Amino acid sequence: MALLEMREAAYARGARAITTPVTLTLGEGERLAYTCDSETQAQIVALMAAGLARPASGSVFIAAFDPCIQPVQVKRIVGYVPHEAVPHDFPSFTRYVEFRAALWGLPRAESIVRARALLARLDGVHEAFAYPLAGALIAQPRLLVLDRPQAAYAQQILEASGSCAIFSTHTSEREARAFVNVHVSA
Amino acid sequence: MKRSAATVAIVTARLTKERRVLLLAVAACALLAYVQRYDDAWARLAGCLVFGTLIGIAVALLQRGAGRFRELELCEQSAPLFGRELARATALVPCIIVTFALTAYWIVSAVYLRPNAPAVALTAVAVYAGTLVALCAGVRSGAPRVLYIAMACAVPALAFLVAVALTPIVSVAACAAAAFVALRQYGEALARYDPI
Repeated sequence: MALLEMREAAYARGARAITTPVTLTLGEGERLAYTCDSETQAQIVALMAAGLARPASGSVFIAAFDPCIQPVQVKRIVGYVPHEAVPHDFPSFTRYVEFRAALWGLPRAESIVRARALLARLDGVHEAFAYPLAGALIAQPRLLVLDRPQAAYAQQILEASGSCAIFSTHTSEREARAFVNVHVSA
Repeated sequence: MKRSAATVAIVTARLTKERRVLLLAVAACALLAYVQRYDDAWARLAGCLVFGTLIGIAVALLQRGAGRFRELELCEQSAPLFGRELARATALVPCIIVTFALTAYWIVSAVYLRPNAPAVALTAVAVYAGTLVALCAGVRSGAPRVLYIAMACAVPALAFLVAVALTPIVSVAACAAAAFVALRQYGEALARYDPI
């Protein structure tokens, strides 16, 4: 069973098409870097893959769940890391992790310990990207969706993510290749 | 336990970011109570309703779509919560701000005149109803947004007219029903909310 399946999924606003139809399949533990024409497209494709935006045509299935019908089940499987920095709304990393732990129904203390360990593995990654990534990984998602991650951090991101499947969107082939070709040490 | 923890986390995070708005709303309502006239009970009630509703609508519209909570919204949207749970937590924020503002108003006005319990209840329930209707405007755009804002303004106005024509109890009951329907609507709108 595919973990992420997009069949001709396209996003539109009214009659105006914003993304071209996307068809792809991603299995458990696999990695897929998807190149888009623009930043807007990359953001929308990532949001559709995470089940947060509904395609105007086509369909998206995550672990056989339809995000339009079973959004809560889908959100328990997916970890979404936006391109924008998240923790500006929080005074500290611990407060941010506590917030996420409360929303995902995770044990608070355990989540903080786990998040700090993840942050240590993301050594060298700018906190604007490391914090949301660690925040997404504390819920141990089966599928991690990254919106335009920086190629320079590919090695650390993939190592911190462990065995979960990774879908990332990019605006250049070079950045996409950086995520696919990285060798992750066990 | 899990659900209440999520609600507390969302309310705390949003209120922390809104503390300046909270202070401004409290100060504005206290000032209104200080400068308004006290010789006409109906005029006093109308003034409080109008001012409270304006604050409620402003705070409700700030909750979504204005870009102030963009990152927080994405985080909440990606959490495994049902639309109604998210709606309840988000709706609590403007209601708490409005409660503080109205409390400031009634405390200052109590210095000049003893507050009337039905009037206090009517003000609170009507302003909550208007605020919850305005929340629905925040997740819409174009004509539906304008329509919801107009309805948010109309709820306390109708509540006032019903209180004048009949009795405040009927008005309070009608506003409570309107608030319940608006909260349900908001939950359903959030379940279908498109962050793009």
